Amino acid sequence: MSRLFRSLWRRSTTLRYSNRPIASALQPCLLRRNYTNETEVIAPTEQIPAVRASAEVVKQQLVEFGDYIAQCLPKFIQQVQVTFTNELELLITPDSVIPVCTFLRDNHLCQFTNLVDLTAVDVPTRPCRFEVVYNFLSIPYNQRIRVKTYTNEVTAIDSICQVHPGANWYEREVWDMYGVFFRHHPDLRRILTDYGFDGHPFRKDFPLSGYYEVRYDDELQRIVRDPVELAQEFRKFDLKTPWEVFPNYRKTPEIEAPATESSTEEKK
Amino acid sequence: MASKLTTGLVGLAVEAHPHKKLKILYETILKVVSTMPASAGYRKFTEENIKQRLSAVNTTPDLNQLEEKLRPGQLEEAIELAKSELSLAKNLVRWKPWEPLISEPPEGQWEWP
Amino acid sequence: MSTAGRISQVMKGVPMKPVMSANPVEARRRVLTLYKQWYRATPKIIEKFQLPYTVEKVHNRIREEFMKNSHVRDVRAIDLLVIKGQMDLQETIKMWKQPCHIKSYFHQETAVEVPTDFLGKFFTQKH
Repeated sequence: MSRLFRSLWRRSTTLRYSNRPIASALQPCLLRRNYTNETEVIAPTEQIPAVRASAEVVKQQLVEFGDYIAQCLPKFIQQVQVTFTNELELLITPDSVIPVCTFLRDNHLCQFTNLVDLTAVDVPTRPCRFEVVYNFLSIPYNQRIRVKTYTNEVTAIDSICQVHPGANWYEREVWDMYGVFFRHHPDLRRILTDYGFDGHPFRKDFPLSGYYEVRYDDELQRIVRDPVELAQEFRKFDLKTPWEVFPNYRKTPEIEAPATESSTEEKK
Repeated sequence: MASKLTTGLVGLAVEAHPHKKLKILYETILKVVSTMPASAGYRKFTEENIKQRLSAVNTTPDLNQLEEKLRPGQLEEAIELAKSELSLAKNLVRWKPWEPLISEPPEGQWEWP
Repeated sequence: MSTAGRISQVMKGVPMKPVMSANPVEARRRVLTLYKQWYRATPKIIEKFQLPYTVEKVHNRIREEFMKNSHVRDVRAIDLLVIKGQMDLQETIKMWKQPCHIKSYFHQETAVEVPTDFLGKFFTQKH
């Protein structure tokens, strides 16, 4: 067995260091073709070193691409934005999830055929507290896009299972964790929590300790569910994260910087 | 010319007459798209793109050269792509994406608190 | 329900699309249908889980669970509760739940009696 692994390892290393010319980013399908004449496969016309485009260029491309999508679908898209880490985001109306996802999947210039992730964010202070986020990947163009929409506890959102069947479990997860209901989902039920579990754990108003604790009871010889009872009743749990989350989103007052300087001077 | 035995992609067979198929598909797409209003952004971009591809199909008899022109991907992939674009165009005629925005977001919806 | 207060204030742009039912009458019909389904499934549930309870007791418990949400008036909130109830019923009938899940609805055997008199409270205090 170990010999087999060793031989495999040798093969993989030789493959990795094989003397293939660098396929340029502009010819993504060069190595995939399979002709009877093998020499054609490994003979690119020109060698372009794979240099990453500068952030400004990438940003410009993303802005143009976002503009293209916004011009195609003005009915559905509320806003197009490029984040400071150069990620394209589409903010769409909640009723238009299926048209937008279908457009992104089927259009010649988009081809976002791969659903990478689907999740939600709970921001209780907003008018609609849940933000549903879809991440797509376009394999031919090596491009990613994020689609965001919003909903609240009692508004259903359209399931994209008919567009991307892979969304099935993600949507079940979002339903389980946040309680966002997906309309026309083929099989919407819990996926992560235990049967009989109360509430949706990723909501911000869900207590950290939960409502019930599950343990094995020796006397009853079975598992019992008890209401959670913390031993230290009056202790204050300060569970704020020590890290600064999403610093870019915070509106920092402009006076802040000189004020801190003066305070340090005062200390001196 | 080296004839292609396989596309190298699972479930995608080699197409015997790619020119013919592509031509039919592209012309159907143009026909569907022409039912949209002339000011629609989707119609404008798609007509431009598809006409370019159609002219490439009409002017290049050589398979390899055509494949170069319809990048990225092989001709079989281009056919699949044209099929999905056709279904999308038909759907968009129903959805009417050129109309003004359905609903504005509620105030402060996209702002981080 | 905490959502009831939020829903009543209509804000501009907040979606108000119905989940399933268009009006309270329809929602009420759905609730009654679900209640009947639970009611009819009761003997089977008792048999499958080998519960040591009578049919009447289980019926009363089901009724109690329904009455817990009797104050909910928002049609969409009712719809979501009905959906959750249907999922719960499916989990029960298909035996995805374990007997402990069902039994926890009826009796907290492990619940410790909390003394009410002064000295008893003093002896059982935890800090």
